[in-house]
Amino acid sequence: MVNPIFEDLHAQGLISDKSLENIQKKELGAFFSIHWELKTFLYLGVMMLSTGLGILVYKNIDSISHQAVLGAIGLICIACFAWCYKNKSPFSPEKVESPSSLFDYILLLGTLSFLSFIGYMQFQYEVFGTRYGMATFIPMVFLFWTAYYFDHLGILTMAIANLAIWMGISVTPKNLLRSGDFSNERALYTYLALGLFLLILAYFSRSYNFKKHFSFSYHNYGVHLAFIAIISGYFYYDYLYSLIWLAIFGMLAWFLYQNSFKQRSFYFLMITVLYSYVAISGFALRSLFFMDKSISLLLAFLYLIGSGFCLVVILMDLNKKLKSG
Amino acid sequence: MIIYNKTWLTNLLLIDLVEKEYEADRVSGNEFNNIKAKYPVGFYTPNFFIRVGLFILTFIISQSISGFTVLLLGGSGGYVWLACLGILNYLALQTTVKNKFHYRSGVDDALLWITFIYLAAAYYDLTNAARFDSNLAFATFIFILSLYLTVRFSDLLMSLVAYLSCLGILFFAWQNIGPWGIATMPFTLMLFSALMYWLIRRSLKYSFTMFYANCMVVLQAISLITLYAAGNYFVVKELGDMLNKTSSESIPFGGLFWTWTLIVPLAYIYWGMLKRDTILIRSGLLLCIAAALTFRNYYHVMPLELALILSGTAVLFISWFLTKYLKDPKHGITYQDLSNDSLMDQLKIESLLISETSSGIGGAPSNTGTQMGGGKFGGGGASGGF
Repeated sequence: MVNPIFEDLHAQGLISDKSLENIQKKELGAFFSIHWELKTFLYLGVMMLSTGLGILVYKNIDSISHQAVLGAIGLICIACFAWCYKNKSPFSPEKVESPSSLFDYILLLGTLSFLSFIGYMQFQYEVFGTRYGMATFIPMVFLFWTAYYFDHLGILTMAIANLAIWMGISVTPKNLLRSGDFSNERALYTYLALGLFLLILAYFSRSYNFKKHFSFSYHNYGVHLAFIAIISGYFYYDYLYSLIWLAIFGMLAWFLYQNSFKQRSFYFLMITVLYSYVAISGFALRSLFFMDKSISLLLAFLYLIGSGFCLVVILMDLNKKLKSG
Repeated sequence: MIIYNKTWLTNLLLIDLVEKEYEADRVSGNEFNNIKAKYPVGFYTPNFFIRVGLFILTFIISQSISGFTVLLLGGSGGYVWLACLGILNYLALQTTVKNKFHYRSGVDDALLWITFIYLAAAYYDLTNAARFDSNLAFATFIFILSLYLTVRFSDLLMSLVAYLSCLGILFFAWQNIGPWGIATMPFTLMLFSALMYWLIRRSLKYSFTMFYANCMVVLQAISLITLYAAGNYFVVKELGDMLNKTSSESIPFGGLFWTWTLIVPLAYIYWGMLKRDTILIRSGLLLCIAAALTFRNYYHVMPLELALILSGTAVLFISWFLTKYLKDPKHGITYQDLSNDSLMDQLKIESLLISETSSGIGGAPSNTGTQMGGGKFGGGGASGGF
């Protein structure tokens, strides 16, 4: 049964006979998709299984059975990777469509088991001895390799998070939001370095066309890390010294602003504009509060109202520009 | 009724419909453009991300204006002040929608919620000052306010508030009846939810719900959820204890409520599969988790890790079986992705979710590092002890 609206449009001559036929054909053979339900199921299954195994290992740490559990985890890991290796599509520097959602999540299960295996080995037997850098470096390399070899975006983001852990910081979205960690100089520079590094990686995967679709994840993490690090740096230092940070911010923001137009991405445009607004407002408010308190508060409100209205106009303008451009 | 231009809304619905066909290449670009020209939409609706930005900015501007006037006039809060701000925001909302034709632009979304919060706060402050403490009256006020805003602006979250406050009215009114009311509470709430679900499904046939399609989806889901929750063993028992101020070991009709707790989610899924109704299936899946948690709360058949491993394996096997079984679509059901959920895809939500929830496991090696005294690279996690 075809929606009467299309028949109506057809009667008005707005839709050709062929298009109407196309639509009719589609509605006749309409399938009901349980794609997202199945995906959620797989996700839940993998999470429950690996969490359960993780708890089991740590609960049995002093008993004999822990070796059996460890063996089981190792077997699951090998089985998952063997299955994925058998079912994978051949490697290509382009995007490789995954064979099925099942494939993606079996690969995830294998990776998670590998991580708990390594983590447990280090905890119990200290296989990496006291070279703690190695204990995080090897899983990271493994994650990157898996992500590229099997073309898995989820594992790529895990790899990025592990890269950060290796550098001594944490970048999962929740931790970034909570981020109490910008209070010391070293963390600041680490975040900034990682952010810029990721932006460079994003640039290279785009321009050399090597796993181009990975560039979004790199770029996304890179933008947030770099901006947050610079803004925190700006507030960390004294007024005069902090102006250097503002200058760095300006350069990065300008570059990313241009880049978001090149990528035609509303998301990155929005992010850049909002972070810039935070930086500029930070500067304005910090400057205002040199004045007497009673006046500065009034002026601060006036600033927020005025700048807010300006930015609304700017955003609407940018929306038009990017849409048509 | 609805504040937005109805012709434009109708055209928008039509264009959305054609756009789907256009994206699937069933309608040519030329035809699509002609239809767009024939059925113009004059709304200002920016890109989703711009909408988020405008939402934040509108919020900042509105709050700053409030703060500025408070500073200038030296007002001290209070309900008169809150009510004034609420009305002012409402007037601003009406102007942007009526004169600037904003529709889901972020500006109207923000002003709608600011209005609602100010007015609700004004009422709360007024009754507090008057020492008039009635849950029933508060629920009624919220219901009237949110119903008005839903009907006028067709906002989906607002319709959720309206439904829940309506349920609240029934709850508090029934509670006031006395012991008999408390004893029959689960059945009353179940009856109400079922009735609401039935009414919403019926009303989909009429054209007046056309502009409220989003609200109708949310209302179906929430009425299914409250229908289940009203008969869930844990909810019935805890709510009964709270209302009677007792702590019971078991409840009357325990068997009935247990059956309800465990059967209803499965019934939703089955019914949803029969009717091809995504809302029923998804509510059912969600409530399966609730059922499992309720069961575990009272019967500890096995330790947590074993339960997780077993259910995880079972779930994986079911999915594996479904993938095999539906390799070629059967009974008109497929596991292929038919829709193009552009937003999910644009932001790569799935990958973010994986990295967020598996970081506890993914970070395992670093945790061990911290436990061993935190070496050079050992300070993983948020604390990062250098």
